[in-house]
Amino acid sequence: MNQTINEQLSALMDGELERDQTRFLLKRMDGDSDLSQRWARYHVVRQTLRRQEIVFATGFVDRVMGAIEAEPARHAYSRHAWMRWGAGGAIAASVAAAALMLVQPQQAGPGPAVASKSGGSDVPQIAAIPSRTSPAAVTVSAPATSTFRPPLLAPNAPIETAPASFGSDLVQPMATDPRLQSYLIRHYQAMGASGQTAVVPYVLLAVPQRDSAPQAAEPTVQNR
Amino acid sequence: MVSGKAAATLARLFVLVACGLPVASAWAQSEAVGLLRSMTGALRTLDYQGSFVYEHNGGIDALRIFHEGGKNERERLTSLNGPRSEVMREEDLITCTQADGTVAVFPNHSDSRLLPLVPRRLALSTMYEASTGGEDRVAGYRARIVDILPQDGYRYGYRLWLETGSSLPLRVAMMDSGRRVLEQFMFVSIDIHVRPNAGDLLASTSAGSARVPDEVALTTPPRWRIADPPPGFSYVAGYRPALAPTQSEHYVYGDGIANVSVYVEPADSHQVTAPDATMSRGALNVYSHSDGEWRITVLGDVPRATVQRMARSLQPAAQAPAVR
Repeated sequence: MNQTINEQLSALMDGELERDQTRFLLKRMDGDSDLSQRWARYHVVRQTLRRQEIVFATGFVDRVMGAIEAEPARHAYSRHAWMRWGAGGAIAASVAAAALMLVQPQQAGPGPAVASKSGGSDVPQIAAIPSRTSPAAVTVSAPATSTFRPPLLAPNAPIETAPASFGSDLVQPMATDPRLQSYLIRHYQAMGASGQTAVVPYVLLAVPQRDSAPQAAEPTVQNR
Repeated sequence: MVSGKAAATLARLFVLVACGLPVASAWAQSEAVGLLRSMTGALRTLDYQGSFVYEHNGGIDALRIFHEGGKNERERLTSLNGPRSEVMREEDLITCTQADGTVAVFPNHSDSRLLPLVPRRLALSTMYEASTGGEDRVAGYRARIVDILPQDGYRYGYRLWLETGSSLPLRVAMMDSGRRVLEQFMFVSIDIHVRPNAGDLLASTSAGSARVPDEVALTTPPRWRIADPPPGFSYVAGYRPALAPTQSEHYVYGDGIANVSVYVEPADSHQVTAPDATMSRGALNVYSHSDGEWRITVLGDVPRATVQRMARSLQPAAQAPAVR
């Protein structure tokens, strides 16, 4: 029995539990504090494995339940499998969202507020799960008293790296200008002959070329 | 009120401190120079292979180096990220394979190696102050820190992390006079005293399209001179192309550690795109100037102000009595 419950908890975390089973499990969790604690521990373990910051807060189970109760009425049951999966995911997401509110900056004041909908709020809002996984995405308002770092809110959602600009790191095969290459080689040769120093001679010739465009020199009053 | 005995004690303490500080400073300088000399030998004689990261211009690259020390010293340096390129240094040749497949071969007639060279004249230079710092750990090895700090803004400083057993540099950072890091490399893994396999010391491409621009030492006085070099810099050597008679010349100016190359070439052999242009890569600064008749290119691991000042004070040697 325990094994079955554990598997269901795991599936719920991953958003893969059937809708009926999800409702059953959540209802059971409501009256079973041990199960609620286990559910919380699952999230702590997951956060630990992901090396995310964990701040233990008291009463989070109550907040989980509050989030469930505040969950808006869902759309009618659909026969489409992806919809059924999505609805189950939405429930799991709302639970996970509340549980994962554990993860917050240390300087956070009172416990994080969780609401199913926070329209009209001035504080930043983040989508609980991507819309493609749930038509009933939950929004979570961030604590107004601190800079909120969005936790992972989407169970079973693929980890998507944030778009980042690496600018000139994205290089195309490009050779060093032959004249510059010749200058550098002769420079290093001359330095070697006179026993002088350079931090990494030749390394510039072995790394991908970037920022090689010359710039106009600063204007001067007198040139030579 | 201080008694006579106490005053005498204080006076003795003052003398001791006043004398001791320069002694300590001289000792630190001497120790640093000794470590750098050990580094010279380690770079030449040791077998090692490892991977290191090179941070420059806000970017970071990973490279791998294979080095076979001893009489037949050989090295191969290859990039691990981005388009593949490599530099191979053998006894008498340096082969550069560029990312686009271009291969260039240059004669290797000096003992310059692919990793840091050591300033042989450091002890004579008054433009830097060398000292030893604490210990650190790099690539799993204990390392001793050596600082070489510039005395003004015309040159850069260095911080080196030397492996305590062999003095091999495991990390080197180049800093400006404000101690801001301009570029640095650091080994992330290295095997010291491990000879690379023969296959790791072979160039990955043949030298089908090789170019060999060679230079020979000037046997005549330089045609040009830098009238107003930055403090501490003086003429070190002069070269000219070996293959064809030309008016092109190459001068090296140095301050004991930093070196600046000055290339003077007839302007008609190049396509001039800008009368004055600068370029920088990490600590390297390049300044180019053309007056229509001559093209002047000055480059080195020195601040931009240094290459600019040199380029702008270059003049025909006939205008001055002697080369500084």
